[in-house]
Amino acid sequence: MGRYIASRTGSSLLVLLGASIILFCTIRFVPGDPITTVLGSAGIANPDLVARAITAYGLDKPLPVQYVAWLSHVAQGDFGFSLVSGERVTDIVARRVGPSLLLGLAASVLGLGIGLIWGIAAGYLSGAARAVLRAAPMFVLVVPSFSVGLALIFAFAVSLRLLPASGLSSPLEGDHQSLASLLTHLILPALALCLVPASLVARLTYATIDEVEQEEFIRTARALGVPAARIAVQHSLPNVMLPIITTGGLLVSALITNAVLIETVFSWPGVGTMMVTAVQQRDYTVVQAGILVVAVAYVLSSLAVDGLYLVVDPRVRNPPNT
Amino acid sequence: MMNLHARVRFLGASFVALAVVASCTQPSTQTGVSPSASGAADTNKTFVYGMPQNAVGGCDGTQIVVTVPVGNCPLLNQEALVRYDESRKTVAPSLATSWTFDGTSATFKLRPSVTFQDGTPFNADAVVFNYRRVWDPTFDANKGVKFPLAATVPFKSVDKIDDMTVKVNFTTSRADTMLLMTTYPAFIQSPTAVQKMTPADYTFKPIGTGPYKVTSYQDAARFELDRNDGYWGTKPPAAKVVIVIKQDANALVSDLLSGAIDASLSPALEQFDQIRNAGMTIQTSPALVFYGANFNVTKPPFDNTQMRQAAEYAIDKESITTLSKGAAKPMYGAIVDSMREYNPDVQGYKYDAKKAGDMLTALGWVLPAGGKVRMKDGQPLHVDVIQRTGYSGATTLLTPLIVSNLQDVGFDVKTVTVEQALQYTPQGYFDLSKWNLAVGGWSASIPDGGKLMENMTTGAFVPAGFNIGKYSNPTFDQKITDAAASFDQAKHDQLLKEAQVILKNEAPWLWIYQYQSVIAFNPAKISAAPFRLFGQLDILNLKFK
Repeated sequence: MGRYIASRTGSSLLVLLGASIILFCTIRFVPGDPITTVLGSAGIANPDLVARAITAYGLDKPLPVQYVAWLSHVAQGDFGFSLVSGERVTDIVARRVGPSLLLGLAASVLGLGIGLIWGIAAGYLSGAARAVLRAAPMFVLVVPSFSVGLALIFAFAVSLRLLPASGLSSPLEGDHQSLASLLTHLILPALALCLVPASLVARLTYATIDEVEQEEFIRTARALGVPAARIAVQHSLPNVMLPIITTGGLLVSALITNAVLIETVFSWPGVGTMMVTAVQQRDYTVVQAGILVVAVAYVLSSLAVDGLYLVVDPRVRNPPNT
Repeated sequence: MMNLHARVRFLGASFVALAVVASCTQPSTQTGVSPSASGAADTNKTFVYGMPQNAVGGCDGTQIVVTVPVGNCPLLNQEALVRYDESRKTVAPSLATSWTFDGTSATFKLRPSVTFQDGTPFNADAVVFNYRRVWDPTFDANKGVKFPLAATVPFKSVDKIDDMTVKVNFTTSRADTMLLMTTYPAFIQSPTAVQKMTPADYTFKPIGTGPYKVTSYQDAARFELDRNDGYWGTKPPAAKVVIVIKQDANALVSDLLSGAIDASLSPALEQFDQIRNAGMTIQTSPALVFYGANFNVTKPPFDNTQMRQAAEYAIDKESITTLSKGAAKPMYGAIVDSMREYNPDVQGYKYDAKKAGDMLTALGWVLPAGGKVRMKDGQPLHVDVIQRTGYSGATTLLTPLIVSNLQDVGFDVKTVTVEQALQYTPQGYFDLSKWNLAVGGWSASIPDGGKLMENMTTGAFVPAGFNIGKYSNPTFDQKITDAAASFDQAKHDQLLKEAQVILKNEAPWLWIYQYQSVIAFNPAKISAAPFRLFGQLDILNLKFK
């Protein structure tokens, strides 16, 4: 088991390193640079001045040199300063990570809960309800999540005035926010964000139920007269969990992808909206830090999935050849 | 890295800054805020205002790269020695009570008994500190800070005459220097506070003498200001101002309709009806910000004056007012009628598609039978129109209007789009091979027609300025230069009126509309929301219900 954990941790670090190299280079290959953007917006177009500023920021050095310099600073916890605002990148990112984590966690819990209930119902119900529940995930998956977000805002914030339309706190609260206010602001974006993972979980759940229900041990249990509910709870559903855990990484990636849209629609002050702005402004230092945060989140969630495997699958915990 | 920011500041020392306007026009400084609220009684009310973006660089007016309609924070917190009186269209006292100006130097008598918001005194030492901080690279407080717009004020040196008198020397002799002294780089802040914090921290906790104190500042999210009860001028009406920044204008409208905020700047045009139907008020106000397009005069077909004039006649400028639901006002020349230097005798190009067509025909560009594109010597009348991404409001209508109107009179039009970040770069508008007509906006750094028209002189060719289409006329240039050097206002204005005649005749720019600041507000809370010249909401003169 120790070797398994070490292996997974090592490969995760390699993934992070590889991702950081690819993304470090990618942002620099996109036309435009922060110096031209910022100085251009300040009325400075002189190529000599722009070139001198680029030199001053070290952006004229070969990419490997820039990368090594950046990585060595990052290893010491120093992400540098925003090339646009001059603020410390750690301060900018620190402000954004919390709201993103909160939204991601809330959407994960909601997505898993709703998806499981939805999938189980679609697996065991019959008739029209079964047909509707099985068709619904496809419908949800083809509707863009930002449309769902806008519809939720219109219904619950603008029309009914039950929930806040956007943001993490109400304008008057500022830094002194109550837990109740935080939760009310969280409901709509979390709901909009959880629908895609919930649909994926639902589809996977009822498909797995269909598969497990055909297994011999289930048929045997039925033949022995074991009540259907007991078969479902004791034999069928535990086997459903494994593929859901397997696809945990995919669900996290769906969450991260959609979070950028949802954060924008709800003006949620998270890493997603930060990244959109930073990319538009070619603010390399902020983009790099943001991407690293996302990559770490992805890798950590993958590690967590692997950890869960250890718990739920004895074949991983005790491999047959040991 | 902070040293690098300092280097950027040095690099800015030789440019003439223009204005970043509404994030899609050329760059500019901004005039100081009016110190007195006219007739608006102070209340204990809180005003919650939503804006789609805030100024890059925080709330230290001297450091920001400002986008004009959103530059509220420094305007509420800090002041310059002089301000621009928008009603009288002249420079007026602010932190200085009087001054003398001879072109190359100005001596200011400072206002007595004024203190900064941290309780420290405002005096000649503070002024010397602030000005040297902005322009003097040998000064300690100048290090580690970026001042992108520092060079807009031609500071040469500053001397303390006595505790309440300073003399400022300038590098150039221009009539508009006192106007420049009203702008961000000349804003005065507490030397004690500046020296107490790092520049990165200070810009979010600035200490000025202005009517509001900054109590919290989350960049690109929210900032909060409390009324400065020790303010020397008339107290503003709102006890507290909360500015909410959300990039998505739709989110702000939802906030307005759900009652979370009192007003929202620049709502999307398509939401106007929804806003009005919900009982909210939409108010527009013209700002000194203009939109249209530059002709590329270095290559056919717009190297020909008559061709440019034909294109001017082809554009239905009035229709943009209707299409934008009042968020744009048509304009017909370089200077609008609200400016002192406006020449009423210059009749601009009003929409006349037939005349445009006749002029094109006279130039040999003929519509073939059944064809839609004019031809000459077997070649189509083709033009490339360049635009950038990220337009909002009425600006989204600009390119479609130009393209469809030009097509109507027989142009073959192709649209080239570049990313916003690349607009003023060699990959964008600076590559003249890419375009014949460049869609964009412009503004003066100060409310002066001469400064506005400097954008159109040979001296403003890229990279020195933003005359991207390379229009050049020595007679026009001379009039602008003479106007800038003239301290006789009548002569100054006359020269600029003559310059407008030249521009009208040569049509190097396609002037289309004057930007209208648009605010949506809750009439149950506010009865009037006035705007300032460059499009900022005049929070000091709000009228509460």
